[in-house]
Amino acid sequence: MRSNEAQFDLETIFAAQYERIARVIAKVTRDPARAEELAVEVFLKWSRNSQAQGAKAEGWLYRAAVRIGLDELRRQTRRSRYEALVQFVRAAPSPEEIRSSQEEQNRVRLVLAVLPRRQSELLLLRSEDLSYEELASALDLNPASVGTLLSRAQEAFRKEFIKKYGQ
Amino acid sequence: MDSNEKNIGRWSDDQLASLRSNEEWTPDTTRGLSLLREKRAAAGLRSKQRAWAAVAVLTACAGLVAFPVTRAFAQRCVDACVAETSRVSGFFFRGSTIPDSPSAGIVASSYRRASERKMAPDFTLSDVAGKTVKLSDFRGQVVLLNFWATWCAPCKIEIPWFMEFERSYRDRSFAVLGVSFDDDGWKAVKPYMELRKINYPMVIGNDEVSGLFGGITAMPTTLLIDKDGRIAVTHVGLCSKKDYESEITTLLEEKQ
Repeated sequence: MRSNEAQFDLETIFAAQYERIARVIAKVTRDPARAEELAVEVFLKWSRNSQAQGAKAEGWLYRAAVRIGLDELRRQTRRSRYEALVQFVRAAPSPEEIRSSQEEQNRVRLVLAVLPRRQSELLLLRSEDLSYEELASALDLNPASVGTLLSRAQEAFRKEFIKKYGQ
Repeated sequence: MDSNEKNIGRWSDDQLASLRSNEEWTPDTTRGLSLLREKRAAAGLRSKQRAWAAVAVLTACAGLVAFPVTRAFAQRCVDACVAETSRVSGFFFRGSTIPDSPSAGIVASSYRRASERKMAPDFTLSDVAGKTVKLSDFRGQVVLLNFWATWCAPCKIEIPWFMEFERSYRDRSFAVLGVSFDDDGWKAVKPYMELRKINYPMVIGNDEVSGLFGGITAMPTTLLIDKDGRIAVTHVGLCSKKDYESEITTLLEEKQ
């Protein structure tokens, strides 16, 4: 009976949150099919973690989604580095490509992949329009220090971006 | 917050806002739900398999100890493991055996026939109360002479066995004598004796005593001395309790 109830809870929260969670992951990883698989993983992890259930569920799911997305992004980045080495000569992107929004997204993703994980998480959750209180709850931070940490993360993001791509 | 910080904040918000996921794509909740159910079922099956494997192992263990023949076999396996690991445990627990020493094998032991035995060298040391303990005073008894130290982990495994032997065979002309080689002497040994309630006499050894026995190069080193004061058995390293017991009973049955 209890396991049926637990399953019901999981499926209820899954139905309510799956789309948003999958979108958060897809934002980071760029690959919708993979994002759907990873979103399912997030819910499975949530169901196994009793501390994540209850009032904190939503914040936990967001944080887990961002984390799993960042991990996947780092894997992709590593893989593409190896592929670039194997290919040896890689065609340079055309000016149109550089200007395209996809290229811009890739730049942002590459910077997020190299920033400290905590800062990337903070920036990504902030871009999901979470309030300072929600950010503090999702990342287990002191609400009073969220502003400072966010400013530092933004500054680190800008520095890394300029280092990689110039002004 | 100064204007520069504000600008940086706005700039990074803009950059991150560009990370929109594909607007035309809608995650398929129905497909996700069936994948979720599939994965949960697979995880449940895995945990069931693990539970069954644990039950099988426990049943096998219970089977091993339930029947006399298999129990004896299991005991031999345990004894062999204890003997095999004595050198390794000695190495990890502050080197209580010296690997290159010729006398410190995995477990070096030798049971000598009465005609091959040599007299145990005599020594006189003081016990914890300051009373003189002389090895030759034990003549007429089978003596288990144990060289050990509080920092030697395998030695501490044997001590409860020796206490049990002392209780079981005390009335049959048997005695245990512990010789500790702790650098701190009684400061280290006395609290340990009180903690373990060691029921046999204990003395603190020195280089002279070690030299008399050819230099104690490994710990534990345990000798079994027959009723005539001759060395019948030498064990270097951790030995099995069963071996000690059979050697003690054999020596007790020997006529003086």
